[in-house]
Amino acid sequence: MLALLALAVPACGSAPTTPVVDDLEAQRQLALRDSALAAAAGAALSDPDAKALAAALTQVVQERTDHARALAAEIARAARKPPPEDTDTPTPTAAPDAPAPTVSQVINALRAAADSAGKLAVTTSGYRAGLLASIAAACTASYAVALVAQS
Amino acid sequence: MTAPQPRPASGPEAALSEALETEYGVVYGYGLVSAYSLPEFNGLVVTTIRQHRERRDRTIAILTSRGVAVPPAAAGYQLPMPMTTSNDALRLAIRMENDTAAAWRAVVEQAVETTDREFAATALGQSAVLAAHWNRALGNWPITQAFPGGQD
Repeated sequence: MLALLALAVPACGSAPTTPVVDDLEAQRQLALRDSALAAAAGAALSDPDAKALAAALTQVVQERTDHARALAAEIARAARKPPPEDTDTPTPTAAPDAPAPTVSQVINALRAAADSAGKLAVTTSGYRAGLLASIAAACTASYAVALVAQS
Repeated sequence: MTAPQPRPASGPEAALSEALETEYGVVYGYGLVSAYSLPEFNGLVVTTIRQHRERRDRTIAILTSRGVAVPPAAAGYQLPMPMTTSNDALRLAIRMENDTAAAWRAVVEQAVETTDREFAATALGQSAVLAAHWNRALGNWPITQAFPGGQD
């Protein structure tokens, strides 16, 4: 609770309607979710011709893991706490017997993540805004180009 | 009628002016990309140049509307790399999109107005998409990066 009190100070006079840490934590959870989703979708690919797609999904796993790490550091900064030990490993979002996610689901998740990070970027400022806009841009490039088969 | 204010040394308008100067150089550079790249990339060249020209013009309009002196384009630009093949042209395109991303991310970080932040964040996303297209065209891997416009 002390950590939450510490961030009641809005950045640069803007007035966030929700606590900064909660918003950043929601973004971090989205990143971890996408990372797990892309990993599961990649593991379920069976077509040997889908090597390029598998590589693109692996790249999404890496980028979204990097996003979660950068967001954890920013959360720590906002809460004035040392960053946590890097113990976050993406956990599978589905039960083992649930159908594996499709690439379309990964694309939709990334589109939603880009939208969410982009909206949050616009309401914040400084380094944090730049980080969120960069994360949104990465998600956009992944769903709009990398995961779309080359024609 | 008031004379335009001299260019500020820092802050949102300085970042916008620097992004504009980047866009000037990028529009110039894509002329060379157009000249040296193989015809199969014409569609991508056309899309890319149109996007940068529109953004350049909108940035000029923003600065003008605030009474900030608009920096002029340079008479010419030194190429950061040799240019003899189509692949050289594609490498220049990738580099220019990365430069564009860095310039607009700086605007996102310096912006005070929400509209500036939106405009700059859109530019950052568009240049990340174009960088991915140009990386794919060149056969690079990976074609995307975790933090366009920065190294977080």
